[in-house]
Amino acid sequence: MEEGRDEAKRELLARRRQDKVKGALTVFAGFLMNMVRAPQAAGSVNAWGTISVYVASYYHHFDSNVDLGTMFVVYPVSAFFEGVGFSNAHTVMGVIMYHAVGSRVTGAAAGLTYALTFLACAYIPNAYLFAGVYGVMTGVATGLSTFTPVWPAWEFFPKNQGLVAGLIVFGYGLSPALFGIGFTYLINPTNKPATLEVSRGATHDRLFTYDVAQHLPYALRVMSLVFAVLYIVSVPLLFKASNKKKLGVQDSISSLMSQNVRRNVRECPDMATVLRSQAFWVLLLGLFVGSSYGIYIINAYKNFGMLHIHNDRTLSLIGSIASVANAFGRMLLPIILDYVSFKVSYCVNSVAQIVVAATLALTVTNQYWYCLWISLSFVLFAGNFTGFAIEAGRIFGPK
Amino acid sequence: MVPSNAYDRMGSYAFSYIGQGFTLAAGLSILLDSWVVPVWGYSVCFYVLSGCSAVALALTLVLKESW
Repeated sequence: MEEGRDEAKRELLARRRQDKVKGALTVFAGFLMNMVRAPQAAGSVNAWGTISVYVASYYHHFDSNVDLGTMFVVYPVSAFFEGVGFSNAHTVMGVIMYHAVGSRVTGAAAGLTYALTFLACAYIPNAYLFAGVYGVMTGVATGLSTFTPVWPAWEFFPKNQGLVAGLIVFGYGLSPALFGIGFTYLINPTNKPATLEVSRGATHDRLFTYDVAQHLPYALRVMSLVFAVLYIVSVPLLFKASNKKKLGVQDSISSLMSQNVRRNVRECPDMATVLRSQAFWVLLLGLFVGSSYGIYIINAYKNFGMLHIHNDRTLSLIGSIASVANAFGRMLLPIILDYVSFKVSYCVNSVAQIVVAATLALTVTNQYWYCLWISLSFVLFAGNFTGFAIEAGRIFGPK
Repeated sequence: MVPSNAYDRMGSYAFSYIGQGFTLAAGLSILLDSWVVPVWGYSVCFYVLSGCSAVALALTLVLKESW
């Protein structure tokens, strides 16, 4: 009797150990998957601002109408398809897909979409087609991959959801630091400055000459391979928790929605009430105007910097440092919000953003000041994302 | 006060709509880059965005933290 109980205890402990290892591997897989997620244009911090100038330079040599403004639309297109088409992973659509085919299949589909998109873009001869394909497909892939590793990881660590999401999202913030620099080395190995001046009204943008820009297809092919390898490594590491039932995911139609979403449906105000509330519209408009600076500068920091800092690697490095700062900001800000109210923290965030945005143009002549200001801009942008998400959850989420 | 595992509350339906503020901001960034930058340059664009942050500050001050 005693022996049987000991045996059962040992088995339980062994299963728990096994679950912890599987959970840690799932978090690691999520970290890797989010690293791939970032080099696409959508999301928040990304490498698009770093690489868009190469894309514009490449296509400008085939069509002189193509300039930095042409490639600027890629980010919003991708954001649209991520945010509206496949949701920010906060809507039912993303949850249904995850539960219908599982995290591995969803993850594999996302990886395949990323790899094939980059591969296809390497052979697209037209700038506008490139912008469309890249924008739409990376947005779709992001919708498929964003929370796909987070949900199974939460099942393993239900009491540490904040930490788990933070670790996974850290990969998202960190990746431009690697891929931005990597892409720069692939396409501009000798660090040639952008010397081709192209006027856009009163503004004179700088593009790279063809001897640099011609490496774009090669760089895209290499990135496609890197993404494929990262997904091949990470997808098999996505596991399901063995005690799933205990964690609230049941076999019913409603299981198509995650535990959080179901809980919200039951305990939160319905959407009609939400839409009628002042808080909803203030938050929506606040996020719109508050995040505009961050979204713009992520795309334009390099274009603007190139007018004064004639060193491609330095500018890519500035973007990388700023991305790391953003990654830390995303992890740390939720912790700060444990101690300070949203109103106080966001007022400080906004005042800082007003000052940083108004003085950015003064810093661009000095690479160190510019690096500091861009890093601050990226951190303040993280404040928009985490602050509003948490405040929305606090006002409209489960009580 | 917000709990430390605040990230799990991102799953609310309300934020899936509020999050579309990012999509609107992305649209605004296109308008600025295609209209403001070519005419007045980057500096003016940054001033406009600084003004947007000031509006965000004002909105935060009038925010009622309940529905």
